Amino acid sequence: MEEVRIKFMKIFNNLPEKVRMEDIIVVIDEKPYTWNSAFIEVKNETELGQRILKRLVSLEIL
Amino acid sequence: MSEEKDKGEYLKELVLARLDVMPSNYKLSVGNQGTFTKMQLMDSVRRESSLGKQIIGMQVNFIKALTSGELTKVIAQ
Amino acid sequence: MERILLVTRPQYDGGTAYLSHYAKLVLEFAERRGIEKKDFPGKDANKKEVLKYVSKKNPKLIFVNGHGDEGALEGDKDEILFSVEDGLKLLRDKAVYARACHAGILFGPEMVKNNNGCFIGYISPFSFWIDEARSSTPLKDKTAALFLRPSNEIVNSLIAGRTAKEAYEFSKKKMIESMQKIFKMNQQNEPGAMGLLEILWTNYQGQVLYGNEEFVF
Repeated sequence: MEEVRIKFMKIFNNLPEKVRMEDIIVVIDEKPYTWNSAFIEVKNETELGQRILKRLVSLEIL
Repeated sequence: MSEEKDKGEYLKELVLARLDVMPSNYKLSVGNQGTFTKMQLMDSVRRESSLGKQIIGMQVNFIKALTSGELTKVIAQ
Repeated sequence: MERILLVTRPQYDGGTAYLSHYAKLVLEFAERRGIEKKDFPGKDANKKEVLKYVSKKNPKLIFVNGHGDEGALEGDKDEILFSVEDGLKLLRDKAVYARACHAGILFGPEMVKNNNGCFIGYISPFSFWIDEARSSTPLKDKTAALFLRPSNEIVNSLIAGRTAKEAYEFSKKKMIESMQKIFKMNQQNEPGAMGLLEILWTNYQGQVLYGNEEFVF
């Protein structure tokens, strides 16, 4: 999972701020998350962050 | 098989969320399919009609362009 | 071949209405440049009239607006004007810009085979967002303009003497400028930026040029 987390961070680092703020990248439990809100969860290694990463892998976004 | 089905459903869910933030006064003219409101687009995605599949395809391509860095590279020109 | 611009502008649904209004800007540009032109608006954009004109007057540059599919270009009410089975010979050595869907997949490559013509079009659905609040005045619709003005630049550039490759690249440059404009949009007052960007990206990626890249009108 650490590899996936690093992959997410690398992609995030390369995104323009407007995309980070406005682009919805995942929906978990019917709640949409933008790149920014996903970043917060992934960076802080929350349970939601783990779910986000798994979902992004299953969607082949990561 | 159920993994694939889940992936399809999660992808639809994502595409619907992305469409949902479009202003309701906007319509999308899609080639030879016609011109559609946000609600009509979302409905087509739910039903996986040919239009719905096209919309999903366009969004997937866009996301790939984001994650690969291709879009950023082009816009930075 | 005659230095004539032919433009088809069917207008039978929301999408073609917008294409028609924006294509008229190209006709106006041609007028200012003293270029002979032939406009096929509305119901005039039918197979009989268009093919008759092409056969008789041999225009060098053809701008088709409307719907299409992989193997055909369409006119009024989806009537096929040219297809891979019918009418390709009339397009030999000409430049065709098809502001239509998917014709870049099959029609374009077939059209330019064994001649000096060129084709600019799309391998994806040419799409654009419309602001419904502006739909009665399409030329004032700033949202649609993000998509349709860059696409107009293909024909404008050819009229202005650029090569096909230069026209193709200039149009893509204008699409990038549209993307950059979207980045300046304020989220609160102008929501929907990502949706606009997605579709602009589809058109950008999907635009193709085949045949004689050095073609000059």
